[in-house]
Amino acid sequence: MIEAIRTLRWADYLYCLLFDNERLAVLLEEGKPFLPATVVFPILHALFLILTVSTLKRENSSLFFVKLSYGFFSLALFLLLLEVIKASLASFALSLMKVTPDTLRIFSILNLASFPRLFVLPITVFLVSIHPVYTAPGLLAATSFSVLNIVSIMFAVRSVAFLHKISMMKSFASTIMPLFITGCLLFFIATGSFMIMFYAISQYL
Amino acid sequence: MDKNRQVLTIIVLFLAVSAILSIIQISITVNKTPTSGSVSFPDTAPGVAIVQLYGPITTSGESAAFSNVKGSDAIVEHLDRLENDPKIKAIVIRINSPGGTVAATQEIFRKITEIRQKNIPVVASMSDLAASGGYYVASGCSYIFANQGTITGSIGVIISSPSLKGLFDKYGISMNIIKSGRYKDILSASREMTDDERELLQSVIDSTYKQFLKDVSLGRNLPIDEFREYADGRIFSGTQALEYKLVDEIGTYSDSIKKAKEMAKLDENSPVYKEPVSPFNQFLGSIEGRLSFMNGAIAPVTKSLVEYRYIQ
Repeated sequence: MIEAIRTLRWADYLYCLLFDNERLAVLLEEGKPFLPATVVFPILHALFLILTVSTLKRENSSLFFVKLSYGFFSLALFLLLLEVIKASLASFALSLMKVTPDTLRIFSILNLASFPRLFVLPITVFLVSIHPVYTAPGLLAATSFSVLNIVSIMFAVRSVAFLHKISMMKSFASTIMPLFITGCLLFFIATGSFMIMFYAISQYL
Repeated sequence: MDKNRQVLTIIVLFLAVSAILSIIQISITVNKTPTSGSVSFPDTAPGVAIVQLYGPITTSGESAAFSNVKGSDAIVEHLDRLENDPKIKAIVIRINSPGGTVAATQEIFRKITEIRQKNIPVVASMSDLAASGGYYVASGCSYIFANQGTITGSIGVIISSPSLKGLFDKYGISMNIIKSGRYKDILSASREMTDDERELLQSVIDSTYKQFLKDVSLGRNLPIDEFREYADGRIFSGTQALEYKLVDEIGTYSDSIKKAKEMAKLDENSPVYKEPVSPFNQFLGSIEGRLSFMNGAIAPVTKSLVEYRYIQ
């Protein structure tokens, strides 16, 4: 593993993710053994998110250690599961568009696309160090987090497009839209369930 | 690609450094934060326990699934646990209750006097309302705090039942009653109460009332004659109750905790043990409370029970 890190091949992937998405598609097609290692990025994302939130407020020691142990483990699992769901939905959407999907590589792209999101931590550390009043850096950090998310989505869409040799619109429709629709559906189901639960309790009372 | 690899390595190193800086920053602020917070390790030092007595006092509590209104059984059980817990040196009973059924109130009162006999001080802290049975319970405590605006007093006993004879006659409804004795359908809503029945019920009420006076006198260490004049069901504000020696001091909830620590000779910073409520139940209880408010829920029409209760 240390050898694999020393070869700096991972740096090529990240460089291509940020600056050359077309080459990333080629690298992904060539480097199948490296693909499972991309799960490290959602895991790092989970760690950086916890550190970001803890940097933004005065933390209680015991709460911080709970966050860093159970919290980190749960969040990392959740983010990984989310990437798996995203990749599956994108593959399903691509197959509906009569494009043969490459689910493992889509999953790898989505994992790699977590990389820009990591920058929210240095931004937050910088903001907190220049402005110790917590609400102002909080707002700016939230804004930068949103921007980084958009950048991350953009890289993922471009890379999926090059990988499957499809247009950007098709790639967008397959990568983002299914997730958006599923999210909306889940929201309505959750709201509906909550309303039914409220109604049931009100009848019971 | 070598140059690109170097750039990316520097970026990754930059991210790692920022993570280390963030951990240092968090560590510095963590040290400045007091240890009390959402997650803390269980305390084992001697301290004061809080018991909540909210809502009408009944043996089994209200039927709402997640309500924090507990019955006297649960409260006595909780007091029992505290009595036998070596780290509990004093108890504060927070009361917000209009009173309730006789037996339930008396059971809590007896438990409190038992605890006092073991030299564990019990301090009552009256909230909005501690009337009738609520006051009965408070009178058993070693020391009573009330706010200026607390409604208390209402020393008395009540029994009531609706009289629906007129309504029954109007709609031609009659009841078939087969009974083993003349008083078996006492308080029947379908007919007027007879003089005998009224006399019988009055004797029950008088006997229960005497017990109330006796217990208040015992708990407060006050001769009955000193407060009999005011023990006619009238309510008092906290300030008036202090004048009539029905409470010991005007003060808040935190004052009562301070007093309990002082009485138990505990340090000012000794822990306060609250009743554990699971966050899930707390959440559902709050939803339930809101829903009952939305439905305009009112107290159910009480069955004809003899009660120490202040009726608003």
